[in-house]
Amino acid sequence: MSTWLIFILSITYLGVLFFLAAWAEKQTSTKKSLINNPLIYALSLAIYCSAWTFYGSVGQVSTNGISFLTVYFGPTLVMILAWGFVRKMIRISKIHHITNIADFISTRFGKDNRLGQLITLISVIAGIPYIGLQLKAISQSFDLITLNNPSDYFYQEPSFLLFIAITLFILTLGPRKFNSSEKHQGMIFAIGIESIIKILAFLAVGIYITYSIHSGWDEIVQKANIAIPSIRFQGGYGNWFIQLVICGVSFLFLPRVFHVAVVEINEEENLKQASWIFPLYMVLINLFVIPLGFAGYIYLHPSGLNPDLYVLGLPLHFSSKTLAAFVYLGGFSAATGMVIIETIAISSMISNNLFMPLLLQRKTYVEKNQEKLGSIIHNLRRLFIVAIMVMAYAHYWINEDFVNLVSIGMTSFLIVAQFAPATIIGLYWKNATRAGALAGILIGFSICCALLLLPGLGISVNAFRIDGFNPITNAGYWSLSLNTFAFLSVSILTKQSAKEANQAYLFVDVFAYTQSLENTTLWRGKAKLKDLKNALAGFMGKIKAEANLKQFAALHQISLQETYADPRIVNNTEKMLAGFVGSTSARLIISAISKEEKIGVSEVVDLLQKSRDLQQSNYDLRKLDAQKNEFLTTVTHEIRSPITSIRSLSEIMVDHEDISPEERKKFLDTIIQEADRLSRLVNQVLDLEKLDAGKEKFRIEPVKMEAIIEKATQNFIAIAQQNQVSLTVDLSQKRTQRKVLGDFEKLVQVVINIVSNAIKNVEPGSGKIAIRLKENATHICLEIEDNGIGIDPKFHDQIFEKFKQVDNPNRKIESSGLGLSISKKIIEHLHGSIQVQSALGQGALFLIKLPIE
Amino acid sequence: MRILIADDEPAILMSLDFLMRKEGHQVYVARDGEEAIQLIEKELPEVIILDIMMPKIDGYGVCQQAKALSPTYQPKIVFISAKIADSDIERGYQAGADLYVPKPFSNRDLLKKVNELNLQSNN
Repeated sequence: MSTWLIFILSITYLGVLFFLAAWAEKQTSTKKSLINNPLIYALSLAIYCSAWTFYGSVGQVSTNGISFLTVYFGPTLVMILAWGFVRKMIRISKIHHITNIADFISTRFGKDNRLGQLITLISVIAGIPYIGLQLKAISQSFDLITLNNPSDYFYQEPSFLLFIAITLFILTLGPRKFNSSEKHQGMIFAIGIESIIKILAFLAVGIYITYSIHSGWDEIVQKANIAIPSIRFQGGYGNWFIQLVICGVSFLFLPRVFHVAVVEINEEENLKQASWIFPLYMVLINLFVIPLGFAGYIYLHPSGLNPDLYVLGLPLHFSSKTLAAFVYLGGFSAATGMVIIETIAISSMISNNLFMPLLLQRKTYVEKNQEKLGSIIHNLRRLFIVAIMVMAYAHYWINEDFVNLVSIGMTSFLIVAQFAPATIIGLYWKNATRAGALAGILIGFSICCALLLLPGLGISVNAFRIDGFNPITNAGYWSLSLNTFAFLSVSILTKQSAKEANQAYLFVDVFAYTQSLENTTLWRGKAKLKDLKNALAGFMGKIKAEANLKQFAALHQISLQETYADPRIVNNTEKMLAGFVGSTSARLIISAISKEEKIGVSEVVDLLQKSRDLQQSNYDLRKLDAQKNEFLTTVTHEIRSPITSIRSLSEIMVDHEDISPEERKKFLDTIIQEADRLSRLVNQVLDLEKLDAGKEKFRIEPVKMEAIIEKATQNFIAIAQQNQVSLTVDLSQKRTQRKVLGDFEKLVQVVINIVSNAIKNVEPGSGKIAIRLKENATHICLEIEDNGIGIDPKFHDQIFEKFKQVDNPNRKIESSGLGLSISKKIIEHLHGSIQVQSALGQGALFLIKLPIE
Repeated sequence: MRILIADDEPAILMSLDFLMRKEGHQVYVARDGEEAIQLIEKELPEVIILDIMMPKIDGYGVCQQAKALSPTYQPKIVFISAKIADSDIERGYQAGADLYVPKPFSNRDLLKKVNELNLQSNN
């Protein structure tokens, strides 16, 4: 195809993408739904699938078999299983205004600058070849589709112009002035669109080759069996497992993935849908990797084409030009998406973690240029982006010949995976220290470099070679295990500083602190309000800074008239600054403009603990208050019913003198019953209150359960007969004369409560109630079983609560709903337990266990 | 007039049944929401007196279903309830009640109000 055609196609694609991003960015102010959309979020996560996926996995399948699958399994498992971890990262980042992974890790370990620098450096080392890889994919696919012969000089390459276009694209949409967050919503929308294009292109070529050229999978596999001497499925379980671990743990720490998954997310809720849409995307994009790999081998292997280009080579081989152009665009979108976000993320890391701290050390310069700091950083960012692009392009140009897509990708993953032990464990273990994190990451990274680079320099590392592992998994095994070991042991051996302890608490218990964080003041010192305002104005402009400060002050009712700022304002200013320059630099700025006092570790921990306890007890009190209110409402409601009947029936008898004697008797009987019910209710409420307050007096003595049952059942003999319910007592399973310690009258009351409930719940005529006594070495167990309507298991906990009556269609006798609640309190006071076993329609069995005297 | 009374308190049902019959009305009684709806569908009473907290379907639910039964059928709904907070009463009227009588009530008062309702509908 003509060079110009493909070139114009590529530029047009970038142009459309640009306008989509700009358009979406505009919409954010009016239509939130467009960007704050779980689908866009999930699709943007697919930025994980770079050109490596698009071209490399098919190349991999035709050389190494199906081991490419680990690259997808890892992140898929993370999104499905480690959902809570991702949510925790998101919540923390939102609270601390974190904008990149270096910031995240250094903030966890006491906002430590050195750690941030180390992580930035490592990310740059891992990232630049990886970006170079994408540029290589663009260039090679361009050459293949246009039949362009690679030139000896890069500036004669048509793809060099594309590279310039992409750089301009990033510069225009990337870093922005006067915006405290690193969010690029329009850009994310464009990335979502790119994800759709790359998957459509890949599915299109997959379907074309599998179902149009061949009759389906079977035919390809059959042909492959003949054409490929032996289809190799390389590596044993060891290789597989280590690769899976590397891909899984590095996933979130890849700068671009951290950026879309954590920094750009609008609402935590979006994560829920992403946890199934993203895996689905991964499945779809892998659907045709195997047939494409086989077909590539069958038709293109003889021509000697690089297997990484089979995806594009196949439609060209079958002269399907439109499809080839579409596939080229898919690969182009996979590569550009990765390059765009990765450069933005890495440039933010370089500027916030490497450059800003150096700049801030030059105090006179900072003071002189305070108002221009925002612009300076803005321009520096752009410079870094250009530098990254140039380095990546240079890396690709110089190393073009001797690496395939997968090995650079895997190496890059492995290096980034070194951040995992400190981050993952650090989010759950408060005692992890900065020194531990530094040691772990340094050791892990050094081992990676040694094992992967030394052989290239002719130094043998065979002593560390494990049988059956390939160089990458071998390096992965040693680096990750020793990294973790170093991190844990150094953490145990070293002590945290106060700042570290503070951050450890805020990270590990983030969900507990979310609400109280704003009001927790862990800062003691003096900072002039004017200085804070100026520092903020340097980044966000005077007007915005002023407005922001006023809004915060109004929200927390802080006066802005003082010379020295309230600690909460200092805190807030630091967080706002963190959005621009990263948390470590923000810390440096604040400490430069204020006089701070040192706070000890124990003091920090103490203060945080207190603020949390206070929050908890506040919550408990409010809950108790609500319960009390509900109780009162229910009591008055329960009392109103019998009063209503009594009032209405008596009024009838006053107004209607002609009433028949039978009716008069019926009404009077009802009035008496309702009056009884009322007095019973009042007594029970008083009982319950006394039990609740611990004022009820118990007469504890050894009592025989047999006697209790006898006394309690006396009351029911007549009622049972009247209702034709059989009531049986079985004492045969209690063989000894042992007694329990309890209050005789109260235990009788418990049995009466349960038996009377049972009588209400069984059918007259067929109802059966059985009372049994059993014993073991320590307890006597009283069982009361009925064959009534039963209780749905979901209500089993509720029935022992006050006034919780379960809907009972056959309710004939009124009950207050307090009986079981009182019974439970009595039994528990006697150190026993009461339980119910039942299901709807299956009757109910109440078990009361009391300790033997 | 045909009146349906639904309440899960047998004693209240007993007294209202007597009262309304003495007034010369035709009375139907229901012990829960489900029974009430069945009777309403069958008998189409002109006045429906409903307790709110009933088993199976509560008073609000019965009221809604009765009103949605047919466009030509427009019964008068009276809630009698032990829920007496202003917010409860407001909710009752929002649910479509024509009258909300808090428990306990005076018979004479209730009768007077129900009769007034009846007059309104006749006008």
